[in-house]
Amino acid sequence: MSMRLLNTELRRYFSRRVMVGGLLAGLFIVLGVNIFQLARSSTSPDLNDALTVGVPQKCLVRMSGPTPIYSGACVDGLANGPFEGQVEEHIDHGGRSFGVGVNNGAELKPALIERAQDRRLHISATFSKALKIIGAPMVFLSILLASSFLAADFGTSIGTQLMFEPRRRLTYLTKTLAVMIGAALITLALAVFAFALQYIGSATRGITTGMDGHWFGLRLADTGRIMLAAAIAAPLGLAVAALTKRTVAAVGMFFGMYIVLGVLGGTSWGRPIAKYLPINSLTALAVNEFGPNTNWFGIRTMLGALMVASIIALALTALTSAWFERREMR
Amino acid sequence: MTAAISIEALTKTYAARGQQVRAVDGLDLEIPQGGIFGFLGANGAGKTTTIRAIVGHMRATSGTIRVFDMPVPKHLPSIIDRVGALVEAPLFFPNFSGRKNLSLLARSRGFPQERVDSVLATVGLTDRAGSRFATYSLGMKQRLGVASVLLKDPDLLILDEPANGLDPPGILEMRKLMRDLSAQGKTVFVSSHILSEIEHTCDRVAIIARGKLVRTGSVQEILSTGTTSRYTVKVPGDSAVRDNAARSLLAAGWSVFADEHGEMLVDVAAERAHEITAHLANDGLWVSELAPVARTLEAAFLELTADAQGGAQ
Ligand SMILES: Nc1ncnc2c1ncn2[C@@H]1O[C@H](COP(=O)(O)OP(=O)(O)O)[C@@H](O)[C@H]1O
Ligand SMILES: [Mg+2]
Repeated sequence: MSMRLLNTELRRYFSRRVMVGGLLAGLFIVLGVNIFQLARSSTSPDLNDALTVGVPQKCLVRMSGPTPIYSGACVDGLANGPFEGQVEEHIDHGGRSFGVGVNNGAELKPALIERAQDRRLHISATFSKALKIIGAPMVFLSILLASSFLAADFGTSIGTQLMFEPRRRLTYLTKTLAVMIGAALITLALAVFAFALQYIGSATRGITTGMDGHWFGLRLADTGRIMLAAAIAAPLGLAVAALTKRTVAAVGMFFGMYIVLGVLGGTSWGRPIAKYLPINSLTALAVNEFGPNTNWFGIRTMLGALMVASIIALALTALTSAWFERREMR
Repeated sequence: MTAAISIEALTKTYAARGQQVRAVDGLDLEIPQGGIFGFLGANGAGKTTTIRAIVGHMRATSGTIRVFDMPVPKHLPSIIDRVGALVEAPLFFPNFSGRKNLSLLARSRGFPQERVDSVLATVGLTDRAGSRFATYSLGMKQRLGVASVLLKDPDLLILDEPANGLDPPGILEMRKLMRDLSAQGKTVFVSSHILSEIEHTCDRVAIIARGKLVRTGSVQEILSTGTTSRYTVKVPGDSAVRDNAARSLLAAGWSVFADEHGEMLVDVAAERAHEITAHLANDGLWVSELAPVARTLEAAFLELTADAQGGAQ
């Protein structure tokens, strides 16, 4: 591998105008996630409707018109849950609609339960969520930036490039490496941006506790994981664009795969195919939630997702580089 | 000394819409080192196909090509720095500036960045070097292509119709550039479909038609092959007068044609051209213009290939 060539391809990759749009889109996604979390950042308590029976007076916080407001901490400590019963009708009570019913003959009384809710931006809890949300769009951005890289070169400058470096397989593999590194670097930059926003938000309107070495290690691993997902997605975009010479083909394929995933995933025979659609393993890798309720069509571990995605990317790259070596160039 | 390029039995068949097009058909060609070698052929004769095979943009169907005695495309990497080629319209990334395009190419081979500015100056693109390639005129694109070829300071330059898109001053500059490069000891292999282009610049020339070599030799040898020239003959008056004149010349055994504008054309050896005037004067017709038509490559071809193809057009 020639460092000189890699350096050139990386410059070529980052100098494109699509990079401006891509980065802006990425920044907006990160900003959007953070603004959403920041807007929710508060300590104002939640009031929840409830039907109660036999709540002692000591739990009363205050009255809201005719409706008592009980302290959540207080009622949670009661021996018999105060909220059982069967709703028989709805009544208007102090401007709110309550279900009314009976429980063992006792009348259920409408009430409001006040619970202290801490939704303050708390970087040590919220940053990992932000990274999860950013991961999937980064996979998409990576495919977009990779596919436009070679598709644009075909028919515009690949012939001239090959006049300076005729080793085609090397050229293709270097471009592959460049789009992988490029996507990983952009993902890293956006993760750092997200971290900065989260930190500023937490410091000004939330809590910054819990950021110890262990936490940093975990978030570094999270960041590395979404960088990896973006990096593995890139050669897929590059290969599809090279084979079809169309950026839209690669981008369309990405969206198409979601639909195919939904259709195939709904059938018993389609599930094994859905499992091996690259978009399935890449999203699994980016989101990193595995459990009985999170189904990736049979991919059960992060390592499994990584393996499936990597093998597909490797196979497609091998195929495309062989094709690239033989095909006629303008 | 080994040849700059030697081509043996080169054949390239394209499959286009279920049809086989034999673009190059058993071509043998040897381009010696030094001098300017013209590669002459009408549109579709197979010039670009031959050049694309030389630079490895596609594989030949059969035959062998050696550049500086190295078989290509297999050993292209070992000689690529000695070969600069401009194939058809130059290809550059449209959204990068001319300078950026060249700078990336230079970087990929580790050439110093100062060379970029120096070759931009050579082709007169310094002022517009910062503009996007997409905004360049055809001539500027062509110049940038030449600049990219010069970037390597190659021993062999392959230029496929470099005059395309250039204005007359640009064509003159291109000719001068080729001569300068040749004077520096470089080999220039230049294709064209315009005879005058080759005539004014080249030392040697090869003519191809339908993928086959028709003739190769020095420019003098090739041009002297032709025996007749074509003249435009104008007589004052309406088309009836012209038809009269044409009939009269035909009756006397001259070869008379009409061009696409209806003007009368006569094929005649140069030293007998004045006899047209004399003949028509005898019939009371006065010639207002008698001018040689620039000898086109196609005309040279028709003559050169008439024998090979049994006189068929
Ligand atoms: N990619 C291609 N596919 C099919 N036919 C082609 C292709 N390129 C060239 N040809 C055909 O091959 C012949 C030679 O073309 P070319 O080498 O471009 O000629 P020239 O450069 O002398 O004008 C022409 O008949 C042309 O139509
Ligand atoms: Mg051509």
